[in-house]
Amino acid sequence: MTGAPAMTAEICAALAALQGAERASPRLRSACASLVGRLNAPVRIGIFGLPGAGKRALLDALCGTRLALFGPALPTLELGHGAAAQSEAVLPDGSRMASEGGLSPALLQHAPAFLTLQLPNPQLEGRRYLLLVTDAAEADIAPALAWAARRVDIALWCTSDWTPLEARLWQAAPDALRNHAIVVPTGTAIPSGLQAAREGFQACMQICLPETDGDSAEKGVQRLSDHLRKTAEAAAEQDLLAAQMFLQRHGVNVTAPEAPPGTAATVLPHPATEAPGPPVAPEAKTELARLFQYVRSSAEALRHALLDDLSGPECADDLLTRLDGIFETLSDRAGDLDHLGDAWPDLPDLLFEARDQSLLMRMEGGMEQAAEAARLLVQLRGDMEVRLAA
Amino acid sequence: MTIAETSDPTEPLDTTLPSPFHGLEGLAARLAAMDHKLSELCGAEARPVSLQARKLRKQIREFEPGITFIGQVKAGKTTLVNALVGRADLLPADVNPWTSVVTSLHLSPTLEEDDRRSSFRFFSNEEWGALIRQGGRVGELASRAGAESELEKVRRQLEEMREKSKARLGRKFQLLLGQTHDYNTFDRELIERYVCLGDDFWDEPEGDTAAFGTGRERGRFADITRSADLWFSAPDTPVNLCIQDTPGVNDTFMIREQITINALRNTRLCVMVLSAQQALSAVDLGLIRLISNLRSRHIIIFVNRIDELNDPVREVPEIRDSIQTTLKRFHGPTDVEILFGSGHWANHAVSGSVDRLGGASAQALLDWSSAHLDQSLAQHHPVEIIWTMSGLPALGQAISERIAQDSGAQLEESVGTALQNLRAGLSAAAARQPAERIAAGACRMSRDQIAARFARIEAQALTTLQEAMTAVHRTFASRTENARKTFQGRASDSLLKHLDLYGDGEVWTYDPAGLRMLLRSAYNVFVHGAGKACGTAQETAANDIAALIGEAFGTTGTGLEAPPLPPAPAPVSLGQTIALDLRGSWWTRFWRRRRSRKSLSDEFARLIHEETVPIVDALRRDCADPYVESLRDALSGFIRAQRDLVTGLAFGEGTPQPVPGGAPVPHTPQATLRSAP
Repeated sequence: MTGAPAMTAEICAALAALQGAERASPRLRSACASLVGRLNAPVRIGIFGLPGAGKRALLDALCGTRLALFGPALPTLELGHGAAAQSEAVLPDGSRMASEGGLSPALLQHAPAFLTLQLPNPQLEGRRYLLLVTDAAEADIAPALAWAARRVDIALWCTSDWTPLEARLWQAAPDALRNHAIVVPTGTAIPSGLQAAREGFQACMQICLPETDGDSAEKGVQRLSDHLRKTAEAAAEQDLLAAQMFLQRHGVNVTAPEAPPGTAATVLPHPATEAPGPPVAPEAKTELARLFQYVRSSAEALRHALLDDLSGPECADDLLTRLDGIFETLSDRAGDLDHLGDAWPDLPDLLFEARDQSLLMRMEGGMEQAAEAARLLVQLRGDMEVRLAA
Repeated sequence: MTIAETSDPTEPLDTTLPSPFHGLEGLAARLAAMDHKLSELCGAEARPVSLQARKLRKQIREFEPGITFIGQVKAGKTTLVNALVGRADLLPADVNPWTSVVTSLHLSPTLEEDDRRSSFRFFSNEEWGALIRQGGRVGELASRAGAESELEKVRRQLEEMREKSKARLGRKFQLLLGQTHDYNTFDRELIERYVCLGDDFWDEPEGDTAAFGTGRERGRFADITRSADLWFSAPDTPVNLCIQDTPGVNDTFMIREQITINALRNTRLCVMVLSAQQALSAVDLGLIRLISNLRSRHIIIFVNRIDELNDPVREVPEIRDSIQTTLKRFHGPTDVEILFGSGHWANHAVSGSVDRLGGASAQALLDWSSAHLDQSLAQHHPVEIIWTMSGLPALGQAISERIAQDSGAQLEESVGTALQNLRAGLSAAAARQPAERIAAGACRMSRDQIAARFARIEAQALTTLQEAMTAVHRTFASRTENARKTFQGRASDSLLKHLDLYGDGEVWTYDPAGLRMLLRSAYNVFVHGAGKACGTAQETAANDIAALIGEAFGTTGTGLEAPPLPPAPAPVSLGQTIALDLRGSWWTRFWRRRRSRKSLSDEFARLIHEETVPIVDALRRDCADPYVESLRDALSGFIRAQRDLVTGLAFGEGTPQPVPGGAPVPHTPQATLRSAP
């Protein structure tokens, strides 16, 4: 995305200014700080799966590393980018052991419980991988997934034959993990029992790993890398827009390259709620998480449609119809989600109003309206995210 | 083929044509079976059971689904309706466009042929006064849009109309308003006196009060008649039917639009009649607006007068496409069934005068037939072939299917549930005692205890409903208010953008369909919420009552089903014309008169506000409130019916007081004009 780094820098500066302002409330300050952190943070990709599913090989293929050589001795690890190779091990007794240079068999002899690695590989720029190593037991994996959920933006689930255990584990996995998840069959064929969409995966990307067929594996890895890059870019773009909205809501104007002047006001028909409310019921969070996941996945589907087959003069109307469909579903669902309305009384209204707006935009038609409707969706996503994070 | 000559054209002809409604036979048979089961319960010893069974039988007997025909003046609605009821000349088709009578034809399979009734109702004093004073809805709109000269014109025309009515009806005029004329018969002349207004009428000398039966009597009361109801025998029609013929909607004063809206509000099935020639050329936005507020399954579009097309075989598919495109473009319902045919052909088939079709019409019929005739149909009598080609059997079939699936199914469900609950009560009471001793009492609770429990259940159910409804009402109020604001915001933005781009020389418009869609979706959310609230309250009440029955009679597992919810009225008031719809000269002048940007957008905001308030009020008054009322009645009725049943079974006697409410009656009585147009 050209211009994105400059944009990021500008927005971060504006956020820092807002954070430092005298009138800023503590809540606003922490929101600014977390937004800045978020904008500069690497994309966190988790690699999951049963033992022997091909997790290490996948990590190597994506990062250009050769960790698989260390075999099963490798513990759960985090792999990020750094100017020079560095490693830090957390040993079973809780002590830490840092060392210059890459991973060595000597370090592994201490049987570390957790490893943090930094490598200068270019593939690792802007990324941080989490490789989750567990036993094959449900009792071991389920808590590990819950732990990992808060450390991962995109989940990759490696599987060789999608066993009932895997299906069960995945169904029980936290929503945060399932929001952006790709299932990666590592064998030569997609397991017959696996229906990616039904299981809640956004995509299914098969990769034949090096030991089976070198040529097609490269293509498979390339395809997965591309997908990860696009997802990361889209997420970054949405984060930028959300930050922009956040700034505008607090009266800071930053140049919005995509928004024609004068429309920003109509995009923001409602002020954000500032007052911290009573604690939120877990049922409400679940309902909101589902709704949020719907927004993400339908936005994703829309993005693909835009890339693939939405073009020509009909494009705007088509886009408006699809967007209106999303808003309609959201407002219909919101009407029936009782806990949601109890926890955030303004949220159903926001969703209803967004639907009203999108309906009128659809009737007006035109590219400008389509762009506006798309921004409205991004804004709504932000509104939901703020509530989920609270 | 012989030409059937009849002395009275309102008599049915001796024809072998099958009833277009034979598709209702299945429903009729199922209702008859239910009625039979109920008749057995009517003989039950326990009086409350027999009472309620009788009440349910009455519900079946009075079931009369309605079909409302709407369309433009020249679409041929009346010809079509005449053909559909098998009486080619029943209603006068040459009605002067001034009249605004809604004619309801009540077809009854049980009435004898010479057993007919009719009733004609005049406008009330208030309705008439409002019409003259305000100039109808057009006057209202004109005054809002600031079109004083138009308003004056409308007033003058209406004044003229009133003078003529006065002259025609003499001093009796004021006395007649608000009255109803009932007759134990009807014939063509009687109908014409109320419904038909001859073109030459106003030129006749004043004060001529000739006796009935002369041409002078034609249309005597026509301009003050609001509705006409005719009851007559239709032995081939499996169930009672009410076919409503409404005046066309394209009148100068929009009086008839209001009348049509009122007729539509209480109907569950609407046939929109278009003329084949108009369907391709003119778009009737008023009609599209009206049907947009109904569900697609409640609408059938019938394109009439295909006999007047030069080449129906080629043109009909074009017309179908054109209608679908138009509906889509103007945000109407898009999956509506569209049928084609000719009331003219049908009437000639019905009256056996096919040889008088006329050359062009006969040629069109030949072309149409040769394209659609199949082997099995070709075996039939020519009259039957023409009847089929006229599209009327297909229309009748479509109507029958909708009724069977909609109001018919609703009745079956509600009577079925009530029947099941009756039996459940009976078996609970009989569980410990031989059947003949039910009346002696097997109850473990006292009468007072039972009464108190039921009172508590009812109070609790109504409170639950009330509480849930508070939130639903609040959502509705905020959604309609937001809809107005959102619409006003976007329309004003669009206006300002327009001014930036084109200045104020160009006239700007903004589709008011958006406002309607927002309000409609607010209403749908309301209906959904209200239904859900009532459903929950009913469910709880049903469980409580089942538990009470179990306690009282010492049985377990008494299944008690909550009755189906009454249907919500369609928000047809949203279809009424508002100032924003008028793209004519007023709008242009409204536009031109305002000079500055500021005053334009302020005026526009004010206009939207003034337009929205009455629409929302009408929506609340005519649709939302009555719906809530009907839900509350249904809930109370269900609980009280159970109370009477349980009390009666336990203590072996009749109900202490007459049952108010009872199960909801699915068919609402004939439409009335609630507010003066």
